[in-house]
Amino acid sequence: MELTFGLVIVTVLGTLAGIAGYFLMRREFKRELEINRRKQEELAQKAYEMTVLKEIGDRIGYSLDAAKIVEIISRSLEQLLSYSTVSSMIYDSEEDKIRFKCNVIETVSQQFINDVKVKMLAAFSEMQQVPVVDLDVDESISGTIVDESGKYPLSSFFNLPITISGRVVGLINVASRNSGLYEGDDTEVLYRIAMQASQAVTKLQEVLENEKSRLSQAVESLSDGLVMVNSKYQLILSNRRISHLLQIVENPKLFDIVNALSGSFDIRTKMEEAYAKEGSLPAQEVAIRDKVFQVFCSRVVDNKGGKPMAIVVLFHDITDAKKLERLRQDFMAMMVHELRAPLTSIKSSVAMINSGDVETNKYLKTIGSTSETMLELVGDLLDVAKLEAGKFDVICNAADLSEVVVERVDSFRPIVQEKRLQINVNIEPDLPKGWFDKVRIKQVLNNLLSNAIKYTDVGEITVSVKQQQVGGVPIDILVSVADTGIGIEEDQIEKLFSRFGQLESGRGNAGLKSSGLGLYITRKIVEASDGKIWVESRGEGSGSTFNFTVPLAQGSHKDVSDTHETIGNFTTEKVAQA
Amino acid sequence: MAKIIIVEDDANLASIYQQKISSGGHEVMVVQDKDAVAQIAAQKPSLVLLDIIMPNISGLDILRELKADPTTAGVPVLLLTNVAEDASIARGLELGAYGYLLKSETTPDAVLSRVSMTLEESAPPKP
Repeated sequence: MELTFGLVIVTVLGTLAGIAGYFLMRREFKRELEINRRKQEELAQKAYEMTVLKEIGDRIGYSLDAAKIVEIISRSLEQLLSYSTVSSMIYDSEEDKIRFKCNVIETVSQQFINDVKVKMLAAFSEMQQVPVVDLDVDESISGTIVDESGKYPLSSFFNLPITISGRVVGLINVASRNSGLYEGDDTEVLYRIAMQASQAVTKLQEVLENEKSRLSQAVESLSDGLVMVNSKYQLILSNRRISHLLQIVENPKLFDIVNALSGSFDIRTKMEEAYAKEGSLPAQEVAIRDKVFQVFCSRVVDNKGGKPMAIVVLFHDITDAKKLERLRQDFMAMMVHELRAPLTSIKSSVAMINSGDVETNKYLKTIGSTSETMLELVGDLLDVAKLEAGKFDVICNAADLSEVVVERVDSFRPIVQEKRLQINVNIEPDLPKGWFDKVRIKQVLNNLLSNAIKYTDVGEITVSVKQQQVGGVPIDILVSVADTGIGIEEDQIEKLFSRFGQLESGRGNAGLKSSGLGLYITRKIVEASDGKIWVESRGEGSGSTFNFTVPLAQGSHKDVSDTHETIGNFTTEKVAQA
Repeated sequence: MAKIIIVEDDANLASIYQQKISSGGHEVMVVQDKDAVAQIAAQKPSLVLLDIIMPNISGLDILRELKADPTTAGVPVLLLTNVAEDASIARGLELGAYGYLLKSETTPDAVLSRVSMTLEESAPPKP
């Protein structure tokens, strides 16, 4: 009996312990489950947050526009929580205004919106640490109907500041007519989103800021002065160098620059020209005070549309280069003068001596002709120097070309006879007057005639002058000098009119020395008088014909005497129109 | 027989011209750039041969002074030049030079004939 009782007690106790154990286990299990569920929820929330964040990030893209960022964030909020209105407030520094935007989702009263505004303004003032009430508030409300009855008062709200680079740029407000919302976790998520978004933007801004500072440092360190204006001709960029070059204040206004340039350079008109024209304007030389600048003006176009959006003006200081060029020219002119003076003396002295002795006369003649050659050479050098400096003057007048030709041919007759050659002149009767520089055209004739004589040993030289007509209308006068000399190979013709382009064969055969500059100068003179020059030859040994044209006095040219034509843009690259 | 003044810094050339022109029966004086204006005013020559590039005073400046003074304004001036400096020749002619000759291209004979020609052309009409 006692045993049975004992057994029962043991059984009961065991069962009780089992039951207690079960309940204990169950509680433990439940707690585990609860933790799991919460973790899952948290994870889902995190994932959701991430999705929203990514979306915000994507939408923001590379925008640094605070207004746009605030707008994007406020639009994304919809997915996270419910609300009646979502509003944003941004300070627009350009217009010194506060922009308040309210998007109404559910019907609310006007008072509701006003309350939101007041709350936001208060928070905004707090954050900016300046009272902002006196500034204009630019208000825009969009969305659903506004209730007039005042049935739905503002019951819960929260403000979300958006900061970029530690600066508050705006405020987002979410408000609801239902009370008790936006407490705890919900808002924390939002703060986090706002923080992350602003961090991303801050980083982006830093990168851009760095890029910008690198660019601006490059612009600052330019040795050229730079001015950039936008399409409204407002100054957007100028470097320190421009202030230095123009001797104006640092960080000048556009007015200061225009003012410093006034009288010598109309920058406004140039900008307008550049704005309208594709590419850049040709560089212009401008003298300002004691400096000379080369000014480049070009427009900057939009990457996508190719629309002009800004104009850049560069001032390149060429004062030193100009000085050097001037020095070179002065030196050249001086040297030529110094060489000419003694040579002239020699030549004149020789001309004064008249010795009875044949032998002495022969030597004197050599001295005379040698000094003559040297004088010509020096003259050629001077002409070339002038050509290169763009200072070669051709002063055209209306005059009788045949007179000049006859006079020149006559001056060469003694040499022609000496070489036992023939010289013929064919001048068309009733030749109209030509438009040319007498002195320079004599130089041309001298050169062509002396070449013809130099390179011809047997035969004749024929000079012809005639009018050229197109469809019965006279266009110009053609002068040709034909010889029966050594001729020119076709592949040599190109070189003929270039600097020092005297042909090897010619140099050898003629046994005469010259600089080889003659035809180069000749070409330049003819071209500067609006004529053409070319040569025809049937090859070596069969003679050559040099032709050039002279414009008519009537027609394209005004019959004014002493028109001064300076060949400004003469370059050595110009190719003879052969 | 006329009185001629040569203003020329190159003594060699000046003496050649002096000799040559004297041989044509004229009285020739060579003066330096600094004395030119005073001498011409004092001597009242029939013709002046004036170099342009000189060490102290430019021929063009001398010419300007001569033309500004009514007593010397009427004296014909031939510019002597070594370099065919178009600009200075044009300037000289503008200032009232009678003409110019390129020294390097003019033989002494040609200088003499040019002088005689100029004297004839510029001589006051005889009654």
